[in-house]
Amino acid sequence: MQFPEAKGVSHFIPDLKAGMLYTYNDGPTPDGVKKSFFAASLDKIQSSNETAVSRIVVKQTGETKDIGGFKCEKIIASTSKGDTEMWVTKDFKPEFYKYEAFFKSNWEMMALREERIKGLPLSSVTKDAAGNVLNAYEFVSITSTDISETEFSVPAAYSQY
Amino acid sequence: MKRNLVLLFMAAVVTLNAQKGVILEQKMTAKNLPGKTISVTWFSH
Repeated sequence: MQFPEAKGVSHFIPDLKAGMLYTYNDGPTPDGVKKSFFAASLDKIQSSNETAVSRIVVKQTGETKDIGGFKCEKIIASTSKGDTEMWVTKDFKPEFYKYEAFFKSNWEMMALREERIKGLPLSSVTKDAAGNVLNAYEFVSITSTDISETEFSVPAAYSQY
Repeated sequence: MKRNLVLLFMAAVVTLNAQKGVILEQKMTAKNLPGKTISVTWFSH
């Protein structure tokens, strides 16, 4: 996963086998400063108090719609603190849910893991019990392409911080 | 010539290691990274 920063792009690479999360920013570094990456074990990843729950109820509604050419099903995850409504495509079968431990207290991931749903949420809205939006994302684009294994490793030019 | 051969070899290795996948872009619309577009890269299988 990656997202743009003021300088460069931040990359997040979860390594399920090693139980490690690697992060780095590919932006410019000051003269004399080496490019570096951070490595964090799963137990160092903090959960958010706002969304920390012990139980989640998942409803696969059967309602479908097309997002970006992919058939998606509406799935609702309900908790004592609010709920998440997400549109999940099963047109391809990544075992995204297995990475739930990297997304602590994330209701989407908890729901996918609870039901062992092989798919990817393309859009999602999470609200608290009062109806306030806690987080949300909308679909922009999806591209099917050949992807190299190297996409999932930190470039050799970076050393561990 | 030698350099071209090396580059060709590297391209072949990359192609062999490549697998079908998707690159998903999503725009964050709430307080988590508002307005930012995140990109998720994933193998299809």
